[in-house]
Amino acid sequence: MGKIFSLAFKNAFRQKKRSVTLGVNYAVVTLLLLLVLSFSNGVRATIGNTLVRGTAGHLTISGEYVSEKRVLIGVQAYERITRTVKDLFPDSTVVKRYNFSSALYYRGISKRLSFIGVDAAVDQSFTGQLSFAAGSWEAFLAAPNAVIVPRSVAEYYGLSNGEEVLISRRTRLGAFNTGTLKIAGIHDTGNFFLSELVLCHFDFLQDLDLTPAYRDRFNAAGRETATTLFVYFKDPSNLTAERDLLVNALNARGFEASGPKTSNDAISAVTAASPRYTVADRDPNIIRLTVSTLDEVLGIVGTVLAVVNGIGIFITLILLFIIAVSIFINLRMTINERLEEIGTMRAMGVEAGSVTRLFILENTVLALFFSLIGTAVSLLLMGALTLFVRFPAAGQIGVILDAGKLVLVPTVPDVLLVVGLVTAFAALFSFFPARYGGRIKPVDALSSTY
Amino acid sequence: MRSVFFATLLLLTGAAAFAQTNDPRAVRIIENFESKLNLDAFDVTSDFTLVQKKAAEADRVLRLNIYRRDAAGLFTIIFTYPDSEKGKGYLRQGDDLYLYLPTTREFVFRNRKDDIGSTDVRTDIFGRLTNLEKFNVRFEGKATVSKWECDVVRFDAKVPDVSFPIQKWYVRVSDGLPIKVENFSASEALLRTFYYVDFKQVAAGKYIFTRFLAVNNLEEGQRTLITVDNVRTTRIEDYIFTKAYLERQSR
Repeated sequence: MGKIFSLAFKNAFRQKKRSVTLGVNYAVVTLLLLLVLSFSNGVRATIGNTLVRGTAGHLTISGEYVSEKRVLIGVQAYERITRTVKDLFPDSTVVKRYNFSSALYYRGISKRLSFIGVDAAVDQSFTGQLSFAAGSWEAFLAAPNAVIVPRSVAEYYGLSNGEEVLISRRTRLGAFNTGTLKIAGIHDTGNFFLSELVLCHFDFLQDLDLTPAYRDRFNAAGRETATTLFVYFKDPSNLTAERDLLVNALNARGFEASGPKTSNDAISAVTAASPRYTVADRDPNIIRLTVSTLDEVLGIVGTVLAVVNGIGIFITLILLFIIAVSIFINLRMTINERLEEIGTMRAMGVEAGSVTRLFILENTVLALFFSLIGTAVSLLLMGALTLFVRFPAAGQIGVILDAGKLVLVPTVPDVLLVVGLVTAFAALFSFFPARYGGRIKPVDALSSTY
Repeated sequence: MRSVFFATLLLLTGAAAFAQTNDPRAVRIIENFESKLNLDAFDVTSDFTLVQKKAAEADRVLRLNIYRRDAAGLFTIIFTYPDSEKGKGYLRQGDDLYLYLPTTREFVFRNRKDDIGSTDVRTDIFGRLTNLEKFNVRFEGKATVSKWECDVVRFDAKVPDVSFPIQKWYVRVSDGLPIKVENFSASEALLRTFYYVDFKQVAAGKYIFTRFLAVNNLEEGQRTLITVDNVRTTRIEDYIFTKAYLERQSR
C-alpha cells in the first residue's frame, strides 16, 4: 500500500499540463467556498456586534403589561427583573432602554426621528463607538436633556452644537407632550446601525412619554417602565440554555415569561417601541415578558445569510459538476494513454483493486494539493480585500461593513471542511473511471498498445 | 410649630382642591357655548372643504360630507375628493371612532382625536362637545382677540387621553361663542391654535361654524382652513350611521 501511495504522488504531476488544468478547478472551487463561508461569518459577526451595541443584548427582554384596562408595550417592573437576572447570573450586565419615534422641531422645520434613551451612568454600549464631529460624550453625560444627533440630522435642520430643539410626541395615553433637548454632540459614525443614532437620556424620554402627571401611574415603585432590557454575558456561547433558565426564574417570580413564539416576535423585541395601547377586556395584574436570544433577534439576518450561502453553494455545485466531468474525461484519457503501464502492472501481478486505488490516490493527492493552494490564495485575497479595499460606509452595503471595511472571517473548521470536501469529491468521482482502468485485462491493455 | 404645619397642610390641601375643581364662572361660559354648538334637537348634514397649506408646498384640498346626530353621539364623515382619498370615511359611535379604508376594505379603530387626512384638524372638533367631562376649567380673565372682547377659560385635562391636555378658550362676550382656542402640550408648549372664524345660525340659539382655521404652531406656515357649505338640518336616515353605509360609498 505504501508503494501505491508513493507511486500515486509521483504520478499526480507526471502530466503537468493536464494536472494543472484539473488542479485549477479544485483551487477555484476551494477559493469560492472559503470566500462564501468567510463572508457569511463576517456578516453575522458585524451585524451581531453592531446590533448588540445598538439595539439588542445577548438576551433581549421585551414585553407588555396591562394597566387600567390598557395593554401597553414595554417592560414593567424592570428593577425586579434586573434583580432576578443578577441573582441567576451574577457576572452579567443588565441595561435598560427607553425608545420611541417622535417629531423634532427646530425653527419651523420638523422631522420624525427614532430616539434611544440610555441610562448613561451604567450603559457603556456606545462609549467609544461614536465618532464626534462636534460635542462629546462628556457633554452628553453632563446635561439631563442632552441629545446626540447624527451629522445628517444636524445638516437637515442646520443645527450646531449647543443649540436647543423641541421634541413633541403623543404620550403613552394620547395627550401631546413636549420637551426641550440640547445638542450635546453631532456624530459621524461609520457603523451602519449607529449612523442614524439619536441618543437621549433614559429619564428624559420616560418623563416625556409618561408625563409627570401620569408617571406615577405607570412608573411607581415596583412598576418601573422601560422599553426593553438588554442582558450581556462575558461568555455568550450558550444563550439558549441561559434564556431558558431566566424564563423559568422569571415565571417563578410572578411574571409571564417565555421565549419568542415566532421569528417575528423575536425581531419585534428590538423594533417595537410603539406607545400605542390596545384595550383589554379586563384589568389583570399581568406583566408578560419575551426573552429573545441574539440569534433569534438576528433571525432575519440568518435568512439573508442563508440566501447568500445558498447562492454560493449553487455556484459551487455547478463548479463541482464541471470538475466531476473534467475528472471523468481526464482520467479516461490518462488511462487510455497509460494502457501499457496498466498492462505491465497487471502482468506483474498487481491486482485490479490496487490499480483502481492508484488512480484514485493520484487524483486525491492532486485535489489536496490544489485545494491547499486555493486556500492560500483565498486567505491572501481576503487579507487584501480587508486591508486595501474601502466601501462607502453609508451606502447600500453599509450594513455588512465595519467602518467601510468588508469583514471576512475564515475559520480553521471552515478551511478543513472545504479542503476535505473538495478532496473527498475528487476521490468519489475518480472511482468510476479508475475502476474501469483497474478492470482492464493485461492482455487487452498490452495488445492495444503493441 | 405644630399649628404652623397644620395650617400649611390645610392651605396646600385647599389649593390642591381648588386646582382640581371647576371654577363656576368658567363652567357657565362653557355650558353657554356648548348649548349653542351642540345640536341635540336635530340632525345636521354639511359639506366640508379642507385646504391644507404648507410652506413651499402646493395646497392640498380635501372635500368631505359630514353627517351629525349629536343627540346620539354619532357622526359619519365621507371623503369625496381627491380621488386618492375618495371612499375613505369615519364613523363615530359614542367614544368609538372607526376609520374605513376602501383599499383594504377594513375598519380601523382609531383614537377619537385622529387627524383628518393628515391635516391639523382633528375629528373631535366635529360632533357633540363634552368639555366638562374631560377637563377641569378655570376663568383666566378677559382678552381682546381681533376686535372682540373675550372671556378666557383655561382647560386642564382630568382624563389622560385628550390630545391637548391644556387649552385656552377665548369666548366672545357679545354672543358667548368661542373664537379662538390655544392648544398646549402637557408641558405647556403651544402646539396648535384653532380659530372659529365664522358661524351660521341653524336654529334659534343654535350655531354651526362655517369657517375654521387650524394653525400648526410648530411647523412654520402650516395651516388648515375649513369651509362649511350646504348646511341642512333635515333628518338623516339611521343607516347612514352604520359601517355598511361607509362600505357602500366606496363601491
